[in-house]
Amino acid sequence: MSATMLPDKIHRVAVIDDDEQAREAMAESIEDANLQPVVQRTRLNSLDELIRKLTRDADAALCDHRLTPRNYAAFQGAEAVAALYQISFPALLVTAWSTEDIDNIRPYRRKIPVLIRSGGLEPRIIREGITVCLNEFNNVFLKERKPQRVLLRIEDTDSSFAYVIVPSWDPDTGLKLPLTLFPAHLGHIDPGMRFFAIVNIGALKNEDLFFDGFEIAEEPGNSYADLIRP
Amino acid sequence: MSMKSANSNNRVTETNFRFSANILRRLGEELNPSPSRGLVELAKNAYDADAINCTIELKNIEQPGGTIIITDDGDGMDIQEIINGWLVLGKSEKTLRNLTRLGRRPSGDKGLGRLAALRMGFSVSLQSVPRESSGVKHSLLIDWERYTGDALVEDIDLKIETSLNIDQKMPGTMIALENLGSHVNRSEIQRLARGLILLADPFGDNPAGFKPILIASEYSDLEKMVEARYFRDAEFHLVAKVDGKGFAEALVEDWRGATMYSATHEELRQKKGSPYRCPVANFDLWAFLLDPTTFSTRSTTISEIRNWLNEFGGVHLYYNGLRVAPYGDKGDDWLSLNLMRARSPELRPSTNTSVGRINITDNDRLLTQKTDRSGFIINEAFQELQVFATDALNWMARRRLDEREKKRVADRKEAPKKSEKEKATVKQAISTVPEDQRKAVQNAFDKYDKARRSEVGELRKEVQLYRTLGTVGITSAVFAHESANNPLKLVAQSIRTVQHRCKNYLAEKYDEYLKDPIERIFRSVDSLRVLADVTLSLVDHEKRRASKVDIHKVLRDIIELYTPFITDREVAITTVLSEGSPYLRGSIAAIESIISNLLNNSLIAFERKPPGERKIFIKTRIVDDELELRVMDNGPGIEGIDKNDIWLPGQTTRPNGTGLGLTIVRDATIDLGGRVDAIEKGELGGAEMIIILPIIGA
Repeated sequence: MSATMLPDKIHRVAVIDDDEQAREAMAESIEDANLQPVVQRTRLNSLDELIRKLTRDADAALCDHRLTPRNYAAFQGAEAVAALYQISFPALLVTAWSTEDIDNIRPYRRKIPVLIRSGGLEPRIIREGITVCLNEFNNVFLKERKPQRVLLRIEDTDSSFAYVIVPSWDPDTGLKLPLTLFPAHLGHIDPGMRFFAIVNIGALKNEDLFFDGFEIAEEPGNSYADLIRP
Repeated sequence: MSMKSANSNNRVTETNFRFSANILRRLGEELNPSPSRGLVELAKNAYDADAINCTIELKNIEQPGGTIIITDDGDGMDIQEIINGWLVLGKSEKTLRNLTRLGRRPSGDKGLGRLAALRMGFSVSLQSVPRESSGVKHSLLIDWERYTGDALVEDIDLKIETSLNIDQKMPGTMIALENLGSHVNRSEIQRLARGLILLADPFGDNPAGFKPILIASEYSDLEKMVEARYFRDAEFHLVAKVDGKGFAEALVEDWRGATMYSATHEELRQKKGSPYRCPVANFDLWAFLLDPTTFSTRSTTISEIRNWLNEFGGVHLYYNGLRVAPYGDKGDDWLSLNLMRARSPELRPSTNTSVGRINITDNDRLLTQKTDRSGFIINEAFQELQVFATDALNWMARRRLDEREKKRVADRKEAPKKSEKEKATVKQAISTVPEDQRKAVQNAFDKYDKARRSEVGELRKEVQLYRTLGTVGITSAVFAHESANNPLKLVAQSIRTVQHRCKNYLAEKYDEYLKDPIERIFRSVDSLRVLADVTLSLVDHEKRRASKVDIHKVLRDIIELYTPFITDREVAITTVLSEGSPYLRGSIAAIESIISNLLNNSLIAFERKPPGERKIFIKTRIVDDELELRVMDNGPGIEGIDKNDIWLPGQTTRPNGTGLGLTIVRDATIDLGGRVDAIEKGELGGAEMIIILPIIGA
């Protein structure tokens, strides 16, 4: 069996998916990881209800991102995993990995330590994923997940997205970020604006990047501006 | 002239240029031949003097001998200002940097236009009451009769008379041009009216704004134009408001003032149900259709409205009655009108095609001005105000889009009827042709009509084919989405569990009995997933956006996407790409459709070839400012069809082919400014397709 050691307190893993067949398949993987699946079969009306049930019946969760098509939950999986992260409850998100999903998940990505492509769920990954979550709760981050404050600039915008360059991650690659990611107090997001943000610039892939803690990067003050602009 | 001794032998005589009085006339007339421009300059003087009202009254100007009186309520001039400013020609006393008392930027004209205007009459009288000492008034009379013959300008004395302001005239200046030398025609006054509108506060209700008034009883329409600006020429007027409880409503009026559409709060608010958390606001926007057809029947011209919008276009913001900069200033687009228009050019106003204002009544002080007065602090109330204005603009755009769609449908229904009607007109015309020629004309027309009908038939078929393919595309995308999300995911997940458990229970027997079939299932799942990915990738809306497109990158991505099919069909692809990353401005989708259709063609062509080595060779090279892309294969080549006909819609040598692939390639290439060519049997023995695309750089 998998070599990853989990603390004794982690034994029961909740299964959250709107497809009954998928729930069974996930439960089987959990069993194979030598953990006990707790399958959530009934509808979840709110995040509060989810948290209440999970903290009572489980020690960790495996959650699919799309929960709404079959009238199963009032929220998406990404929201659920992020809410559980807030209360230090380990949860792994499973997604079909479509562009649409990646865009929807991005606002919650900082609080989603592990994203698994559907069909790629292996017992080993479940155990390792739970460990990654527990470590983050203790401020121990994988290199790919370490939050760092960096500068980014807006190259372009359209009705729904901003196209962003994070020079310290990759100065040549434009990233498509939903405008909803930018807090309202920042005002209108326009090309040419620069922000500081908390980003995991150690991420290897675009879809693993998270963005948080946006601040407007002001123009340099006079004394500094004089130095750089003769 | 005076003489000084510089040393014992030399003498220095000081002198200066002097001007013949005639030069004044010539300067005025030759440098600034249009009196209207001169009159506008006098109005600009009033503007610079912080006047609110400036009246230009034209009396009996249809014949010589008329009078023009320019009166303003500005700061007036003291004696020094008259001597060193008003009477000095060709030198600007105003510095453009310093704003006036009312915060206006002085126009900085040098006075030559003024001279032209002053010279319009035989005499000019000036009266000015300075604001600083309004107890006195200064008067000056210039009699141009004295400036003729051999007189020199500096020898003609001018007398400024200062007297007590007994009749208590308000501060300001009055200039009367009397006994005009010639009549002033309509086109001059029209020019004057346009010049005045450009100086005026656009909405006319700003207490500190400049209000020029034209009084010309003979041209009352131009008087009204100065008063009303160009608002009547707007095609649409959006009127939207938010009340004290945050509930909004809006309507759009056409150019006659008739309501075209109206909306309730629910229809406007994108974030459903909630009120706008902003102060009471009234939003007016006048949008203009600046096309020649619209203006062909109007007295105003497109260019004068363009000039006006260039000056005032955009949405201005008034806070408790006072204008707040920089909102709506030149270059300020705080509601992102231009960005929204870039996305939907036909139906969106931009700062160049619209002018508007938002009047805010903020009794609860929800908005806070920045301490340096450079606008408002972006707090929730300000953002909500922006959301309200944007919601109103979006709603107007939706309604207009809806209307255009209805019109399109109606036009389509109407087109055949119109065509039949015109045909009857032609027949009628033919019947009047002399009998000996009538038959020939009739025959020619019949032939033309037949050709036209066949063309319409072909186009209709083409449209139908595109629609069918569109539907196929949409359906495939939906299925791809569904399959990737559900059954595929489940198959993959379950087979993984089967594998895991079998390995545990069967140990080494797993490899012997189950390894191969289980891995086959994994490979098939991967292939299926690729199918879904390809379909979804092609319909990604992001790719239809116009942007800088790296052609080599798209090429490599497409090949990667096709790799499973290519491998499956035992085709070897070789690419030899030019150095650098050639790029153009277009959409990724356009380049993708070119490359993927060419690849599809090659893959299909191999099916007609006996088994053997299958090769596709893709080559790019840069020639001057163009990229030449060649896609060639060792298939059977172009057979059974002329190489020029392969690009035509519906032309195919395959029984079930659509005949659209290469048409799409051609259309996409032409749209990008390029051209296409083909060789029946190319370098590799099969078809060789050549695409030339103009590039911006590499």
